[in-house]
Amino acid sequence: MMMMLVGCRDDGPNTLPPAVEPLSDVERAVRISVALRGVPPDPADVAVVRKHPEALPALVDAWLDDPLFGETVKDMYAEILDIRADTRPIVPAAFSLADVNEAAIFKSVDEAPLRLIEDVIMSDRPLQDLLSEEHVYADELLVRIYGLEGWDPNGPEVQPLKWIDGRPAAGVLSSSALWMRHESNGSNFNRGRANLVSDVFLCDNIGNRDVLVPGDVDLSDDEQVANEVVDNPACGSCHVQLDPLSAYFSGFKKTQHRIGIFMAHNTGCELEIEGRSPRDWCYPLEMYDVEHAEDWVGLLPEPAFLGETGSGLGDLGRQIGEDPRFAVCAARRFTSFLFQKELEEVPSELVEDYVDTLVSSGYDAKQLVKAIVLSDDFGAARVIAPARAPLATGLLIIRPEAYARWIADLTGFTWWAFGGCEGDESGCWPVVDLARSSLYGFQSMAGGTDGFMVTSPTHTATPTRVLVLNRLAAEGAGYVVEQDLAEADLAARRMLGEVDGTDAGVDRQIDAAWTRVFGEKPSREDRESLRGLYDIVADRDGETEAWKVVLTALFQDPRVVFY
Amino acid sequence: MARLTRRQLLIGGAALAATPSLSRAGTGPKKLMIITAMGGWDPTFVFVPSLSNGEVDAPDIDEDPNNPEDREATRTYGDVEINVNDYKRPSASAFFERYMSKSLIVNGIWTGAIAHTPAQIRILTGMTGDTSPDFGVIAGSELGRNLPLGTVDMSGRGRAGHLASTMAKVGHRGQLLALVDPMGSAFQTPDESSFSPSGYVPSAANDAAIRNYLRGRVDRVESRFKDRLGHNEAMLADWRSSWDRAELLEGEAGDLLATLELGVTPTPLQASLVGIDMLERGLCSTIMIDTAPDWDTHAGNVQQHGYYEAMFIGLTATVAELDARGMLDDTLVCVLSEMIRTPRITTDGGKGHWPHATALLVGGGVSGGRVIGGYDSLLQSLPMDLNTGLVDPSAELLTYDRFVGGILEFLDVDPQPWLPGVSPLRALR
Repeated sequence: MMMMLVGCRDDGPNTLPPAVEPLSDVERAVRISVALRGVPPDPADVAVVRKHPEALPALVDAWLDDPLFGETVKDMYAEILDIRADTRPIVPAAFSLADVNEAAIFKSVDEAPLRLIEDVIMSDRPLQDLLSEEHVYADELLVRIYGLEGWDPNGPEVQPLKWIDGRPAAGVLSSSALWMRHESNGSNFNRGRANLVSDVFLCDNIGNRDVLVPGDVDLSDDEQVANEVVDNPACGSCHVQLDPLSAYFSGFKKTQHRIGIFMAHNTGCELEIEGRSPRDWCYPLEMYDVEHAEDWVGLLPEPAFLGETGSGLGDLGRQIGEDPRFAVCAARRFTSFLFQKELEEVPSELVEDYVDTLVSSGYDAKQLVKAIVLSDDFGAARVIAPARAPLATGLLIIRPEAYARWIADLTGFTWWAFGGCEGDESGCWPVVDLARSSLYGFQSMAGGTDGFMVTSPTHTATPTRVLVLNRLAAEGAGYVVEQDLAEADLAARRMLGEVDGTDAGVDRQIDAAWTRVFGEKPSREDRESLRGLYDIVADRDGETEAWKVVLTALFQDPRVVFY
Repeated sequence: MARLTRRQLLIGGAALAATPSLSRAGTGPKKLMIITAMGGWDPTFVFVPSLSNGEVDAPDIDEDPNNPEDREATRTYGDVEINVNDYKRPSASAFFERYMSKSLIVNGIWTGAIAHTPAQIRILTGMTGDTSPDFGVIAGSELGRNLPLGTVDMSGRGRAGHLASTMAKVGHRGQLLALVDPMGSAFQTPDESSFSPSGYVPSAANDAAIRNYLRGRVDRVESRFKDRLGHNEAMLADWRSSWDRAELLEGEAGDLLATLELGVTPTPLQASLVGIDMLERGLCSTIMIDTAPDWDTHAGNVQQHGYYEAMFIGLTATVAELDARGMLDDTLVCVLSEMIRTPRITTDGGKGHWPHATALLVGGGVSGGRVIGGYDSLLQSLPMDLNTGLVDPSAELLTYDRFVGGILEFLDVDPQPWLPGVSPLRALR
């Protein structure tokens, strides 16, 4: 009897059904590849996984080294930093930049901090380097915008250059682009910027707390505010944490706005704006001035982080990197991004294992990501017991940035178009990638963020998202069919390498296209279904149109959209 | 793939609208038009009459002493006092002259946030997190359950959360035109040989064939990932309903958007008129519009004169159009800013952020000709009786969630599922 009871107790936990139903090995590989790179695995990789599922971790390592993962990293931090904000263009294509496409300026400026992040993560450096890196990752245009030195005209398209204005080396914290986007207006004295850093790297959004301004405090009186935040407990609960952090950012201009740039140039660069040198507002733009690095004196407490004083942004970067919350926050943010959950849905206690992985790997973000994507929760086809698998989701939806890259990878098509002009001629966007722009294109309409008004992505289908995917799928299909059928060498074609005018060739081509899209051959039912679509259109409109229709359908297949 | 079914619509709470169909306006449920003035307006210019007094810098500090017409004054419309300047803001005076009886000013909404994004989230959603739908989208999803769409967002500021499948966005520069009418409103292609856009648009027959094929594929995917009304089915239900709504948009929105120009930001009035057309045609039940300028006047608070003037020009035309079409009593126009500005002018000539808000409600059956709530002499929100709207020191503050709950309830949408436990403002009727 005792044995039976013991046996029952021992068997107890095992009688629980699994919390999630796993994806098949191939489905899992597809999900991971799309999550990391935005594209499904190569057919050869799928074949490996099918035969040797245990090879998946090695494939994940390879995918993490793929430059496409670097693009995903940039997408993620663009969302976190709200840095791709083309709906609010700041730097005009005017004056010494009158020869430049404004879309190119936007990309050059706003991608710079993302390129830094990409380099740190892709080169397996500790994640803390995001806050200590001494270079700005510049393209040639950025050199003109900021007046950077050391550009090698024979070097690569992006080169790590050093700031020449004396600003401390603190990775993205030293970024002009970041502080152009996140300005510090009025009497804010960099508190908004400090809060951003606290939120992004420590997941502590101080600005989200309720603000109770005592009745007798006049926020427009800088001196009174400086006193109250020290003496008044209602203010101090936030400001004791925020203000010493804010002091680190003295030296950066409060704002760098479009109107100021025009005003400065139009007055011969002699107009002082917001207390800063007229030169700062004329090209090349100067966002930092070491002479203002002590501007906090009299307004804010001395620069410090959790009571430890520091002497510059470099110290702040180090202090944040040493804070245990840095690793926890990084784990939460990567988990949130990959699982397509909001940060508040990913509490610290659910990511403890990932934090351990990150720390023990020397803060290697790739190892963190690998642990996340190889987890059972991430590999769930469906969730059976949510309480026991709170992170698990099930189907994920492809992000608009990834979808655009995938279409480009399959077809060579990029959605270039003339954006439009508004107001003065500097507001023209002659050439813009519609898939990547919210101002003129469809980035936020397809579920992405616009970095300013839409700060949280949409992780489900919407009518406009459907329309955008529909249009992009058709554009890509139309493009690749025209290109391929004009190419006599079948081996040189991107998608239609099996089209040879025979009926058997149609079936082979359907198999090939399906395999290219999904990484494995279609089932008989899937092949017949697609062949049915082909035949309907081919009978009516001919072969070329039929392939356009078939590819348009394939490119927006629900298994492409959901992974 | 079949069209939306009742069961599918209920999955996950995401696809709340029934099979869309067009209907004529006027006999259906209430409608909502949200007009945002984001950045933080200064209520002393209109809604909180005051002269500069040592505690508050009111717009009289901008008066030109050499221009006798440039004078601030308090004027009474019915029982309501409004700050006016017929030289700088004549349209505000004209608006209240005409529509005060249908207008309700809500002062003293405590938002508790002095950063723009948290304040916007609070005043629009009644919540603090970034994931909740705003009250326009909630109302749209419920009031528009028999319409093709719940909400059309022309502001770019809509927060749809998990109700995203009920909302369509027009885009910052009318991009929806290029989606619903790709042949008629295509983007120009760049004149550079390295770019080769295809411009391919399937014919209607082929488009139908594609969609029929994809419906079958969704069925296949659903059979693989079915999870008993869980996440997967909600995702696929959103996909199906979004396809249906997208088809209706293609069929109906093209001519409604025809006054917009692809690549050009519509004026607020343009957006309003398109929005009114959409409401009247029964395309949706909520429209969101932005007043365009950034009201965040940290340097040069004097700009608020022009911002208010432009806003009231557009608002007067909007309300007049609703009135002329017999829609004003069905349509609540809610004009709001996420915060107000500090009482005093700074050395930059601007004003900072103040964690309180004012809203102007017009039409929709609101009990007009009134101001409810209030501020003290330092523009701090005062406690208010939520049933009467009267300032009452023994009552509680009109917090942002109570305000949002009150709007929803006024629109016959139960706020409790969205804002559990909230005591809604009930002084709007």
